[in-house]
Amino acid sequence: MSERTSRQSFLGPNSDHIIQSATVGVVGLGGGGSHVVQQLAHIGFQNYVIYDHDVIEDSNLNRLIGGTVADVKEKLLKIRIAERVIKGLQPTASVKAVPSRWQDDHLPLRTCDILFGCVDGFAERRELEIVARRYLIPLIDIGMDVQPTVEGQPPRIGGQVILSMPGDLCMACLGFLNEKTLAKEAARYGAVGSKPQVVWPNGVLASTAVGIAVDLLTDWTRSLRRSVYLSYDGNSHTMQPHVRLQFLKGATCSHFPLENVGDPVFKAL
Amino acid sequence: MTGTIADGAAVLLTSYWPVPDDLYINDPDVGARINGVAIRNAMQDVLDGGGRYGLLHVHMHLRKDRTGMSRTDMAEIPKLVQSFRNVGAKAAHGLLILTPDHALSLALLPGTDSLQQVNKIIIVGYPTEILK
Repeated sequence: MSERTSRQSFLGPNSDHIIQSATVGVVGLGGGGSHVVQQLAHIGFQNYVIYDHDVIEDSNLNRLIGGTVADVKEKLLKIRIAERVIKGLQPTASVKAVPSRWQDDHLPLRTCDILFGCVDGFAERRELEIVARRYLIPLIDIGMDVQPTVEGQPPRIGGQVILSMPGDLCMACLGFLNEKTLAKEAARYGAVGSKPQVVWPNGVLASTAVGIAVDLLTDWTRSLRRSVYLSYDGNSHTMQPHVRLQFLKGATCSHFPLENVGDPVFKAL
Repeated sequence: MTGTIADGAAVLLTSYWPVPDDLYINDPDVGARINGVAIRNAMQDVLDGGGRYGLLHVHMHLRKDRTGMSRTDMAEIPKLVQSFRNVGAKAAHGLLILTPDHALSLALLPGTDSLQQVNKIIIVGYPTEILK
């Protein structure tokens, strides 16, 4: 255990080695993903695969960790900001930075031992989960939204943290992804407009996701033994297990059978 | 369980089929030895998979440290793996040796002629363990 990580020695005598051995993937480096990479770097992770193809804009500065006014002027890729944050804390880290849509260059994803999905939209979440399941990679999904309510009432901030473990319940089993939400999103496809986003809910969700990842790898709590679905209420500033979990005790996933792992292949008829 | 190999290939293990007790041979020279029926059954499983699935021969060494292949492993297992290759050339086959705290795996990938060391083995689950 090094002096630098001495304050996290409760994670276990081998935790430095475990953390340094793991390859973490972060898809999306905006409000959520920028928090995630920063925390992973603080903890000591040394191997990264990161994806984002956007450049930082002025409207990102209210929440993108590591982003600066100078970066906006330079139209810097978000992935370069994340790389800078990581290297600032872990100069010898290996960072595979992919400045394209992950769907266009997904092979590096396969090298990940754990994936963080910090993407917008339900369809993209489903696509990422399909890849994670095919290559047996635990996926931790985070997301937040601000919904308008009736006139005179404050808007509601909601969010989720989900651990989708191969062989266990998926985001469809948990009821987070369903045909209704996917169809609704597809109907809105191409609609212009910016979604409200703020820094603190992303911070809460990202911190929780990183905590789950560290627990999964080090087993320091010795209690993480099932899929996680946490529901965030940004108005009451609380996070709790989603109510649906109580109806899923003993349930198994029928959407991703284990015999469907690996590359898809054509089958002779 | 996932095993990654230097060139980026990954071997994904999703099920474990134990060999029934009555298919072991009483051989005092080794810890355990399976008979020809067990091997033919395994080959049949590969064949029935239509080339989609490979097979890793799994056994355990009880020493609690990094393990290597024993002399018997080196003499016998490559031949066994070649048998799996003969009936399923499109899939990866190989071996996995477990100890109480480590693992060693070698894989014969499709289109290659020799067993390659798997450089990282990940046990996916709660917790997710990385053996490097």
